[in-house]
Amino acid sequence: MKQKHFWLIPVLVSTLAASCQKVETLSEPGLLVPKTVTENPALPSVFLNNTLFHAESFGDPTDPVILVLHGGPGADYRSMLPYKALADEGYYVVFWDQRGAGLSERQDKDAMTVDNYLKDLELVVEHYTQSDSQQLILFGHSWGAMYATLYINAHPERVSRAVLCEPAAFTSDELNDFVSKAYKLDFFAEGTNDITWADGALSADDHASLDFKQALAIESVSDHERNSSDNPVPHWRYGAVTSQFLPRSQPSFDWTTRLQEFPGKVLFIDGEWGTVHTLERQKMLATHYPDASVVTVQGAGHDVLYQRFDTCKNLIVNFLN
Amino acid sequence: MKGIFFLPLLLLLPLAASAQLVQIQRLGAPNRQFAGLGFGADLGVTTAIQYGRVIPIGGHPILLSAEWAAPVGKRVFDDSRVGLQLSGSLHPGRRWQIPVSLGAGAVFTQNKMARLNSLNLLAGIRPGYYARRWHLAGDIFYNKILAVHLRPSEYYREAYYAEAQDGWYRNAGGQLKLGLSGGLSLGRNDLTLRTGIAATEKGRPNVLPAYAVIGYGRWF
Repeated sequence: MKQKHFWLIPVLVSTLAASCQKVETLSEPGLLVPKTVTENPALPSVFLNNTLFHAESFGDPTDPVILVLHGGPGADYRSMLPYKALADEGYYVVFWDQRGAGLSERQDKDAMTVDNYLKDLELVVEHYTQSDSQQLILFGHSWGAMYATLYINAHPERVSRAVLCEPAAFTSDELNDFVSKAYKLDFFAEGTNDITWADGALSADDHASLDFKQALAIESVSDHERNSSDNPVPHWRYGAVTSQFLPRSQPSFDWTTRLQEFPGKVLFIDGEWGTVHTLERQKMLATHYPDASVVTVQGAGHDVLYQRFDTCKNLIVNFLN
Repeated sequence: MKGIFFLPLLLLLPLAASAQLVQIQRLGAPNRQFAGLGFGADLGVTTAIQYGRVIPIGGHPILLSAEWAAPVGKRVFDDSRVGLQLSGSLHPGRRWQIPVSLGAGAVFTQNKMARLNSLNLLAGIRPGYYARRWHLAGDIFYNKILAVHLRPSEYYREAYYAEAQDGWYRNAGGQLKLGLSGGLSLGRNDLTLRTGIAATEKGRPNVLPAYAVIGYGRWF
């Protein structure tokens, strides 16, 4: 009787083989992290400085331009999209995921340099403005506020005003001080072991795995930001190569050398709850600019722009008016 | 008939643990079982427990050991690994030996972004000088992650990517360890130390780019 069931063996083997073929690798686009502009041509994009950026804009291109600079480095502009409402206030609002970040094209580590980043921003400004006389406002969050300062220091005459939300530093000394306070390595902490232990189950060197683990690392060591856990800040993708290699490209820097030449006003926005992005730090950074003011928004941490959108938008509109 | 002993060996090849906590030159000694405790940095600050016994396979003494390990942290049971390992020497009874180990295990981890469970194939070789009471050897270890089951968390879906796919993924990478192994026997007790560098199979440093595990094992 048992011999009658021998036909099951090739059936089972075939089924097993077929099921194994259906198992994907992590590098397949769109499985673990969203597709980038190179993997999904339907996404809005612009090609500049030999890379394809995820970018979109809202409003009348002849209005004063607000160029939105997201944090990271390596994050994306998803959480800042509500500020497209500034288009209704008479501004042309431009969003873009920076080089290698968010849904922009992935890049090799050799392309992740501060010089390249400055060139990118120069070309983005050129692309989205009608002329050199069109008003340009830089609006940056965290790393984006540092990035804005990098640009203003290089071109103080080109920018009209700036809104900077909780930058960490404008010089390498300030950054080292920030990092020493923000990231205290604790080998016995749950978050530390969550990051390191994941290497045992997921150790692939493909971009999707690295991006996923970069987001894990950021999420596991960001307690000092005091972000809201009830309403998490949305992201698309953390660009691991950008996050890890852009800071290494310029270990020593000073982006304050020409800030005193900047004629425009600067608004610093500070979230009340931050333990390292403190009001004192924002006031210290504001002294680099000749005409800057600092406003604290109550009831939020480093994610203040997202959690207190209405308050921040009104602050920005009043400041620009 | 001798060949039949290799059948369980072949079946057990995909089972292994990561670190041997006793001295391999003990295999010919009268004591046939051991229990071990390990502590150190190995994919995190980790505590490991092992049990093993010597079994004859094809006329050779082979050490079959099982391990459970977990990192420290607030939540004890969300991260762990288990495994089973077969270890033996290519030149048993000599001072210069080439011990090898082969097997597999599973790694479990849960974090803010996902739940990951992996099946891992492991292979190790520790060529070196093995005296009666001590050894000093090289330590080469390869951990191949054959497949991982990944289930993104609700947080990841809400905050990052709603369409993230949960399921099995093949070829989730691998890790290489390269270092030194040393050990000392005191009566029925063994002390071992393994330390070195850890990288991905393509040479990128691990998040924790080094390992150092001290082990204590007692034979009975």
